[in-house]
Amino acid sequence: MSFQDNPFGVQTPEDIQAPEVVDLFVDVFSDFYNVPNPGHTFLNGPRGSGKSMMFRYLEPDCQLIRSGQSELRELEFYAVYVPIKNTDLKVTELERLENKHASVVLNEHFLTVFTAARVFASLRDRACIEDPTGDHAHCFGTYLKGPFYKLLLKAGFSTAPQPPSKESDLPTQIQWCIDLFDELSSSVIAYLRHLSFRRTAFPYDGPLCGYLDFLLPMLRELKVLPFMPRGPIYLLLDDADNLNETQTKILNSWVFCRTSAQVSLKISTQLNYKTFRTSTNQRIDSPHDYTEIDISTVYASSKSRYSGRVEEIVRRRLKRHHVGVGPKEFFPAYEKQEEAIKQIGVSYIAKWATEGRGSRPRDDANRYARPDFIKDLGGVKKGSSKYRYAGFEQLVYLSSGVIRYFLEPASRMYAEVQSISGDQPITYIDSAIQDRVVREEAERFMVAEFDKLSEENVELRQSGKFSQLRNLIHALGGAFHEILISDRSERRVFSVAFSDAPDRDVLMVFKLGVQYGYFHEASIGNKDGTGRTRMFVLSRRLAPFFTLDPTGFAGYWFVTNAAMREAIMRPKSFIASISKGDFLEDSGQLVLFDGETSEYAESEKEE
Amino acid sequence: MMSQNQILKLSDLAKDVSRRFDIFICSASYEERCKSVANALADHQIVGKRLVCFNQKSSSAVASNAEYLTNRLGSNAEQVLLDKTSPLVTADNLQRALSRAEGDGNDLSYLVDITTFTHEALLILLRLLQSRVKRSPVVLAYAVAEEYSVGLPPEQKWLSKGITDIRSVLGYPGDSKPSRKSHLIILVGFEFDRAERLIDEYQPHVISLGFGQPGSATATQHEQINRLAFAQLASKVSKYKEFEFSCVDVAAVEAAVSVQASLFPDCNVIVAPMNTKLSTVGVAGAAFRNIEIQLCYASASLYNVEGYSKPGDKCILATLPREYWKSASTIKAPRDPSV
Repeated sequence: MSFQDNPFGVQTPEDIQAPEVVDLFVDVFSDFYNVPNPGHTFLNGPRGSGKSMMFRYLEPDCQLIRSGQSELRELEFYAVYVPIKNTDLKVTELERLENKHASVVLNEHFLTVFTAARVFASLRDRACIEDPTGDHAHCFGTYLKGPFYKLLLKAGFSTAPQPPSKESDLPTQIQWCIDLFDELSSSVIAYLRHLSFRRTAFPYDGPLCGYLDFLLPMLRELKVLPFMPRGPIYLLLDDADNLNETQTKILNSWVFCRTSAQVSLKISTQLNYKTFRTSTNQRIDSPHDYTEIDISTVYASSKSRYSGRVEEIVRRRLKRHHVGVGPKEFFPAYEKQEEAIKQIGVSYIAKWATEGRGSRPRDDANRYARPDFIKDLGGVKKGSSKYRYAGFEQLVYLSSGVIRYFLEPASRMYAEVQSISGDQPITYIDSAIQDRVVREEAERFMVAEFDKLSEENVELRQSGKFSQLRNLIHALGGAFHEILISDRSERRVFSVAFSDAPDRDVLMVFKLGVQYGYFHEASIGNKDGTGRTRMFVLSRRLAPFFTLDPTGFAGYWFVTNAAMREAIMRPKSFIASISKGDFLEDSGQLVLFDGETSEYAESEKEE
Repeated sequence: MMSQNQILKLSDLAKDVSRRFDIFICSASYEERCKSVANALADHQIVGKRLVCFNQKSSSAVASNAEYLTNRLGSNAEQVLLDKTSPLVTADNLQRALSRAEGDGNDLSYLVDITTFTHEALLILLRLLQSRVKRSPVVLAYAVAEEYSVGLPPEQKWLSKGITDIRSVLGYPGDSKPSRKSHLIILVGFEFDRAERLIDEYQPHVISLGFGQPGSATATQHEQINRLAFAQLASKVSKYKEFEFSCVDVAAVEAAVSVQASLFPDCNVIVAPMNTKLSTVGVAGAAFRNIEIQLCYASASLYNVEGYSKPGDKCILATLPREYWKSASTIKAPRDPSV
């Protein structure tokens, strides 16, 4: 077991063995069905949202276990993991070639041989090919001596290296390919080394491999070998934000080729992909050239789906650690608090017939019991008691659609309990510890992490954009709290939707917030019912910071550009205005939607 | 290989330096310390040509200190513009300046005040010197700080914050093989959060965290801060290999880094030197003799300009032996024929 100490420890999926991956992985592909299906796909999501784990699960060793097949050829596709680490391909010397024709050619060669090396490393490490009769080795040898060798010659090898004899076993032949491409990659770096301190041209006389003329035909011929799956080859390029701009354009050119029936590109990004232009400056578009998935948006718009996934993930991790309880027992809610909220709910149900606002007695209880409880804590008991963010369900909501934001605090909670419990088995996390850790996380996210981001982005900081974003978050968080403790009919609000067009400056501040995870972006039907408008959802990770209720139903609030400008420029006066009821449009426009199914879909129904 | 260090009083520097150097190179910074070595030498005929490097995209204090140094070092001084956002500009300007300063000279001796170069500029300079140095010595001078992050308690001390960019260092691209796993070696300094960010960005298979050997800091009071940073970083990283290195002995640093790299021969090695400048010189030595080592640099977005350091009254002189400049392979850093 690799998570011996802490069931919630986060490990790089690349390093996890296939049986463990299959054991831990919760099949999320019904939410992201484009990922395991043929076709080019961009999979976007912040770090820790599960992209690499999805890719790891698609690799053949995991797929063999999942499908119960013993033969590689029985699989529906062959997926090759191609991690793009920070300076693997983004070597500074490449800048010497910028704005020169050679830049595209050499960068493409570099990217091609890098990918090709990973293809054969995958055959060595992940394919689990048994070859007792030597038939596969023979076929592979024929492939190497035939089409593969011709491709090498075409790529410009003056004397192409001779593949090992057909009699060599399969591992030897595959290793030869790995060594070949590793060596080709080395040659590129050796050439770049000559450019380090050179401002004049330096001739390159090595081979040049591209996608259409080398990688694609190489994979096409590889795919028809008898031990390979009949379906397409997937190249899983993880963290493509780490490519330089030229390499990004080259990858987009590969996407543009629409070769997905044979080779599908699955490209993950951390929402910082440099461009969607190709090397020839054409734009690649969705859905013509690729499909696009934003993990946060999918999960932010469907809490029940996300909650189910997290529950299953946690259940598996606990089981692997022989903890004999489920997620809800392991992360218990604060019983006293839940009982008090339940009693408030009972009183709402009792008075529904005469004073009810919702269509069913339960609606009022769900909508108002928890906000009332929070409000009461802020009233007569202010300072003596605090709302406690605890219980599995609340923790799921607080992770705001990103699994890492569940696992990391959970890991800290576990470590804290471990440090005080000694050798005693841990069967639950006390609600006070849960509350303390998530409050610290929220504070860290809003203060320390924000400061760090601001420090790292000098230009944006100097232009005042980070101050404006901080103002906006404080204004909206404060406003949502005011609404939560008001007597309004709809009190749980986490989102704003524009009733008119946001101007460039306002939009830029929201977008900055989206980029760093403080907001999610979505769209909903506009007020007139004539089209759609932008909606921005505050991250629920901030709920403890602003004392908001992260659970269940959540509403959105139509706002004007002028109101958001006020929030950005004068957050305190904006919140004061909210307290007085200004900026709040009539209650009919504050539409509720059911977060338990699909927030946005439901909201439109209710409109 | 033995590097020889001497610890001198700055006031005795001119007297104790036993020879004349053809070229003196220093770097202006917002720190007062950038003046320490130059002030100690300026009134003595110890150095010939003088190159005053400075980053053009820095605070106004840098430009004014560059002006001060240029005037202080006299008519033989030339300014060299570096660019902290563009290693190519830094390298090209350094290369031109070195060529001009060398003239027709052959086998020149260099005295380099490494105190306030950025780690990246220092590494680039060393790579450029590698192709120039012959028999005459290269001596490095390092003005010791009396205090870093002046006036703050150890747990609040900071020198820089944030990372704007992570890049391989020009001249040290390594030789990474796509099929291999990665091994990130960090020589931890004061800034654990920047080191943490590096780990997060690289997600290496193996992490080695090095901390300064007790008793090897440029001044003993800095050890506590280094240990604090190391402890903070270690608490956030689940699995790592720990090693020690000397903060001042170039040869010992090289040996420590080389040994650490050799522990995982099947990994691509990336080294991030984030400790003292002298240890960075040692890291460069390790990369000279092992081209598989890639050096990386995380450029900071904010420096503690107001209180980075308080100058001390001592200076370390490190004489680099001829072996330091040797490459493991026959590949030599080529000189640009156009300059």
